[in-house]
This record gives sequence, structure tokens and C-alpha cells, in this order.
Amino acid sequence: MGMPRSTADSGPISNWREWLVEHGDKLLLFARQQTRRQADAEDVLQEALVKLARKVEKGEFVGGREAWMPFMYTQIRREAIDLGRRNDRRRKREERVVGDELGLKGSEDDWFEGAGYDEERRQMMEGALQELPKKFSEVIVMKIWGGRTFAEIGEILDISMNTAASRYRYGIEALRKKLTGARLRGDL
Amino acid sequence: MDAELKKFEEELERMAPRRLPENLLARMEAAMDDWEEHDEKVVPFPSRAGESRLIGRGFLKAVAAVAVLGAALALMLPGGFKSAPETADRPNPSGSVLLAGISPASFAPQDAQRKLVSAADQGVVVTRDSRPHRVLRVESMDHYTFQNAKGEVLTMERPRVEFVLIPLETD
Repeated sequence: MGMPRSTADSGPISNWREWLVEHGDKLLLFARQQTRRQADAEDVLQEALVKLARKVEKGEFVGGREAWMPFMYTQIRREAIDLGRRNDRRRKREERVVGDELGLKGSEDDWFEGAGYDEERRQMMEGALQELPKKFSEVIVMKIWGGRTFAEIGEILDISMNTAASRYRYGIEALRKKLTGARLRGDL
Repeated sequence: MDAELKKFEEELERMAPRRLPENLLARMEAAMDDWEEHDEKVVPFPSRAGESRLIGRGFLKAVAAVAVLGAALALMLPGGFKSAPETADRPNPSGSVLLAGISPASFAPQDAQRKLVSAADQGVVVTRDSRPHRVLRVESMDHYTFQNAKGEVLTMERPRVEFVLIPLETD
């Protein structure tokens, strides 16, 4: 199966754009959750997208369009693990040296949109989510903002559906507890 | 899932993931269109000039100097490094001397009991090894009875609060 690649009047227009506009934010969020930095998240997302495009264009993709998102979650995760292994030594060195620089977060590092939500609360939520161990936060990100089922998450992470569900539940509880603690301390 | 968690879940759902900025969207789109030309390998960023200077020999010398200074400082501190401080929970033997005119040695322990006052679920925490635990706050009261040779009885009560972590299985 190939993607139609052009329209008559306005020259070549990729149909990937429409799909990216619809799903790109969810995928970037997941990539951000899987990596340490925004630049890494973008690289990982790009690698995974290229692999999807290659498979689809060459007709090697198994399944329909609805299977693209589970494929992307799996691929982003793999790319993040590979990138982490490749760059671990280099990154540790960089973080030591440019730690202060990393502490200065720009708005492009934000995981969520600021509009329509209390900014302070958003930052707290985001911080608490980032502090959560990855095995919990990845399930939460896929479930809440990716709209994946526990069965799909289980398949993506190669764990049982029940494990995915219990990681989600305990992760949500831990997240709420962190935020309750922040509220009691007066941070919220 | 209880109502509070459900409410919290709904609150999370109201947060929208950051949209792809136009330049990033264009970059991703271009990469997908040019999948044939795309080099699959991620080329690592070249280290910046300012950073590499810090990693050089001078930087290592500076680190070594700080380490030596720290060690010397530790030796000069009065009393050096102390072990863990006494905790409030540890029984204080001298506490019984507070009763004026009574020698603590003349009282012998007769009875000790612990009564459970309350236990409350404090939610789930994740420990450093990434394992979830349920936190139970357990309040109890310790009762101690002492008696001396004259048959005088001394009772002591001490409230106790403990937080018990119960490991939860996820896989």
C-alpha cells in the first residue's frame, strides 16, 4: 500500500501531514517521556516516522492504518532505548558539564500545552509525571493521551494486559499522591 | 477505580499534549517523504567547543583538587563525620530519671503491651527501585508497667506512629 503523494493544482503535497497533525502531538509526548531531552525526542520520533513511511510505501506494513499508532509507540520505544545505549556515555559527560544549561527549560521543552489550563498546576503535573519511574509513566502517557487500550499497551511493552493495567493504576495513585503532597506543602 | 482517582484521571485528560510546532511538523513530514534517502543512523551531535575544553586535563586537575580539599575539610571538622543521629523512636533510658526521688534501678519491668489505635491507607508510593508500595500509617500505644520492692507501680505510655510499606505486585 502506498500513500498518494500529490495533488493536481498545488504541486506535491504529502498526505503524511494530515496524519501527523492528528497524531504528532501524542507521539511527540511519548517520545519526550522516553528520552531525556527534547532534541533526543525529536530524533527518536523522526527515526520511527521514517521507518513507518518506509514500510508503508514499500507495502511491507502488516495491518491497516489503525495499526500505525501501535507500531509507532513500539518503534519510538525501541529507538529511544537504542539512542540511550549509544549516547549514554556521551550524555553523562554532557549533563555534568552543561547541567546548568539543562536546568533552564524553554517552552519548547514543555510536554503539554499551557493554554486552557492553570500554568502552575500544569508544571506541577508535568514535573510529577517526569519524576515517576518510566515503567509507570509510559503506561499513563499511552493510556491517557494516546488513547491506547491496556491490551494494546501490553502488546507494545511486551507485558500482559493485567500488568499494564496494574502499572497504570499504581502510577496514577502515585502521581496523585505526589500532587497531594505538593498541595499540602503549599506548592499548589 | 475509586471516585477520587477517576476525578484525577479526568483532570489529567484535560491536559493537552504540546502541538508540533510548524517547523518540526515540516521536518517530520520531509523525513517521511524522503524515506528512501534518509540515513537511518542518528549522527551524534559534535561536542561543543566550550564543553570539550572543560573535559580536558585542566578540568580533571580541578576535580582532583576539590576532592583533596573535601577530604582535608572532613578531617578538620570537630568530631569528624558522625554516624546516624539518634532517632526519636529510640527508647531513651535516661528518660525515667525524670521522676524525682525515685531510683530507676529499683523498678523492675513487669509488663509491656502494644495496642493498635488506628491504621490508615496513605496511598501508593514508588520507591527508588521503581517498585510500588502501599503506605499504611499505623498508630499504636505502648504500655509499660514497672514495680519496685515496695509494691509501688509505675506505668508509662508512649504513642507510636509507624509507616509500613507493603510491596505491590505489578509483574
